[in-house]
Amino acid sequence: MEAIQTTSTADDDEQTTFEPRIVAFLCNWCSYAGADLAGTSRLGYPPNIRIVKLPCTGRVDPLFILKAFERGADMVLVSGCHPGDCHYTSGNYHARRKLPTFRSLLEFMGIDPRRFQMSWVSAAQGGKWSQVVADITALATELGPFEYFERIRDNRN
Amino acid sequence: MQDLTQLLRETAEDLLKRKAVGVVIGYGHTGSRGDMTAVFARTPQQVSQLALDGECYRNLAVYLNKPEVRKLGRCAIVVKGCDRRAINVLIRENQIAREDLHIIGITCEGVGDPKMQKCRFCTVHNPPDCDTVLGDPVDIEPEEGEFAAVEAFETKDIDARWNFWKEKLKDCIRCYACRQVCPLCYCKQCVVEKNIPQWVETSSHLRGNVMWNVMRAFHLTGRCIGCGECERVCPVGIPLGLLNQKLIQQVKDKFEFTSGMSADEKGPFSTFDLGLDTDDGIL
Amino acid sequence: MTDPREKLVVGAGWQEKLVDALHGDNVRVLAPVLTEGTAEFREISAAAEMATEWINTRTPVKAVLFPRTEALVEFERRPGEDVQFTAADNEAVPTVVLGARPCDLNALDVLDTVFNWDYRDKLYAERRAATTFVGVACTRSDEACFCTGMGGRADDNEGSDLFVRPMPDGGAVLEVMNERGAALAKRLDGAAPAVGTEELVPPAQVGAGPFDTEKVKEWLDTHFDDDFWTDMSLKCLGCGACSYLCPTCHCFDIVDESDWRKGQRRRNWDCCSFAQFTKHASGHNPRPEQHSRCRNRIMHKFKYFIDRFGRKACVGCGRCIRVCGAGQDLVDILAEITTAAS
Repeated sequence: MEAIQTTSTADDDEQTTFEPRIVAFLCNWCSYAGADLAGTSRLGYPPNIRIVKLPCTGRVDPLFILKAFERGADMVLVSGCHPGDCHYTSGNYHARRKLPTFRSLLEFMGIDPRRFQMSWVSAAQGGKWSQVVADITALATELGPFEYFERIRDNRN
Repeated sequence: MQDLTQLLRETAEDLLKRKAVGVVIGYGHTGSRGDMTAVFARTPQQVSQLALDGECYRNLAVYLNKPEVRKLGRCAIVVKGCDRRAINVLIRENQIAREDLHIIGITCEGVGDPKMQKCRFCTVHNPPDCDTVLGDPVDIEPEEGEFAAVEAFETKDIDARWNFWKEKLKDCIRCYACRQVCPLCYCKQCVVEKNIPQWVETSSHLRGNVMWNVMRAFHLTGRCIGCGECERVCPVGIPLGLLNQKLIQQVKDKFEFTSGMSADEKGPFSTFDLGLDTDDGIL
Repeated sequence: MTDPREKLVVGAGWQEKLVDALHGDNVRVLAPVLTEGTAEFREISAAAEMATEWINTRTPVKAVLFPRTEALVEFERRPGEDVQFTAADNEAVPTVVLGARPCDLNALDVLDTVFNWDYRDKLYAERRAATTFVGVACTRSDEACFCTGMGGRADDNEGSDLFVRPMPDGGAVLEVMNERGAALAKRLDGAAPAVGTEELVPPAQVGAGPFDTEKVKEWLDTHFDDDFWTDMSLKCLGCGACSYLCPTCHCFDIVDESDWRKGQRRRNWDCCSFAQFTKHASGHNPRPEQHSRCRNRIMHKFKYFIDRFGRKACVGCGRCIRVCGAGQDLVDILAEITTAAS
């Protein structure tokens, strides 16, 4: 796994009270089970994550991602089975094409692409799940509140 | 081009006379202003309305989705190379069967005066797989720099990009002209019309407009053939073509795919390639 | 044309004086501003921002009184409490619209009629009362303009509170049409007097179009079912550009937008060209095909509105012709109906 670059230090963290909201779309078979394993293994991870369980990452419509941002998410994570492990054979292969392309569209629109993360976490990787959540929470904290939709929430013309 | 117009009229007349088709969808200088718009010739007498010239910039393939047009019977349709690509996508997505169409292809050196942007990078001056082809073969190499506008835009930093789109999208009035004119937006019920739940807000505030325009563009990923009709009809001048071009560039770079080159192709999101696809950017 | 109550001749610089005076009164001033070749009504802080050469704004003046989206009411549910409702913050702002075109101002009559008919629309009425319209005679037109065919004129002062007839040197003859116009004219006391003669820039010559609205009405009265509708609508793609930018179209939809906790009830423009416009909850759609929707648009403007309110719901601004992506042309449709009626 690639390490996420963050520049925040312990000192910075003390000064901020911002708690990012991260919406995570997890596949039922791998990542959700991986998160479950992290729990039963008593591996801690930040409570900033809100999990939505789906059958497969192939089910994730980019609409879900944008809707999560619209409703106040600071970061969105899509996590599923490693390539080759999909319960439905190829759902994650499709997600691997579709979602990064959507990320490039977000970037083109001027939305920081780091706010949309993807990961492969298997049912056996409770430790990886815990690490992914810790890393992206640190990144989301560093990026600060996602205010694009907040700022355009004022609905008057 | 006058003789081509004559040839087209003869072809259309023949098709209608022997009832091979119920309608010929083509171009014509209709109305008092003489704009080149769609003409629906249903009787041999009406073929005199048909014409061809450098103003045939519309993409008539959109009319193949209209139930009112399909009711007229088997369609003959006049297409340029770019329009032909749109029909390929409609066939590959099972919206229309090839045998239900009589395709009248016109070779094309580019349309509009000055030439439309898309024509400079065109690779289909000679529309493939047509039932009738009118015009001499055209041999023009596409120019370099198809994605120059995208690349130029990407020199802006992330905040400047957002400010640009925010300014453009706040003007969107949600008339859906972009959707209606698109030959590939054929859903009987658009996602914006689904209200349980209301995925895309219909109000034309910036929040709803961002949602609508991002989703419209993304639904066309790997499908858009770059005809530019959405941008042309936008009454408030949103550069929709730039979004489409970005996605065309993405599927070309990442998946080596160009939409509409054949009716047998598979869209980039309905397939995958283990040799090509990577885990770049995935944790 | 109506005889003005009073005429005022002012020299160049009168707009600066007016805009400055209005800002002193904390009045919002909207005027056509050129952006990327198109004029749009925008709030201006100085008269210099105002376009000098424009035919008409992209969006009609109706949007000032009837915005394309507005909140009506806000609601919120806090834990353990009932739902709380509060009126949306859409108080009418005192506004002067500087530089509206005669066609757009003629159209206000249609909107006034509809929004005060069996129900007085509070939001519309409050904005109407808070807004003063300064009309400007058109000195240029384009090939889409056909106001004269609808009984208007390039220099029609109908609908204006204060009407401006420009002079070549930047001065103008101002016609005070009513009380509101008089109040505005007062703010021009001491403006530089005009120099030389009161020669006006000649008003634009607008063609009336090859149609006769009386005959159109007669034909519409008896041709609800006719193949003409199928023919004329084949080209139509069913978008809402023509209606949304029409100065008289006034249909709206009411939607609720909320998350699980709070939200708004909003009013948005709607359009009879959309396939879903008349769709019932049952799934039945009384206007199932495009020809029935196109017919409604023509019938509403040139028959139903006349039957009900005694005037046409079209002012000939030509926007529907300019924006139509399919090349649909209202003048040609009216001409064809006129021919069919003759």
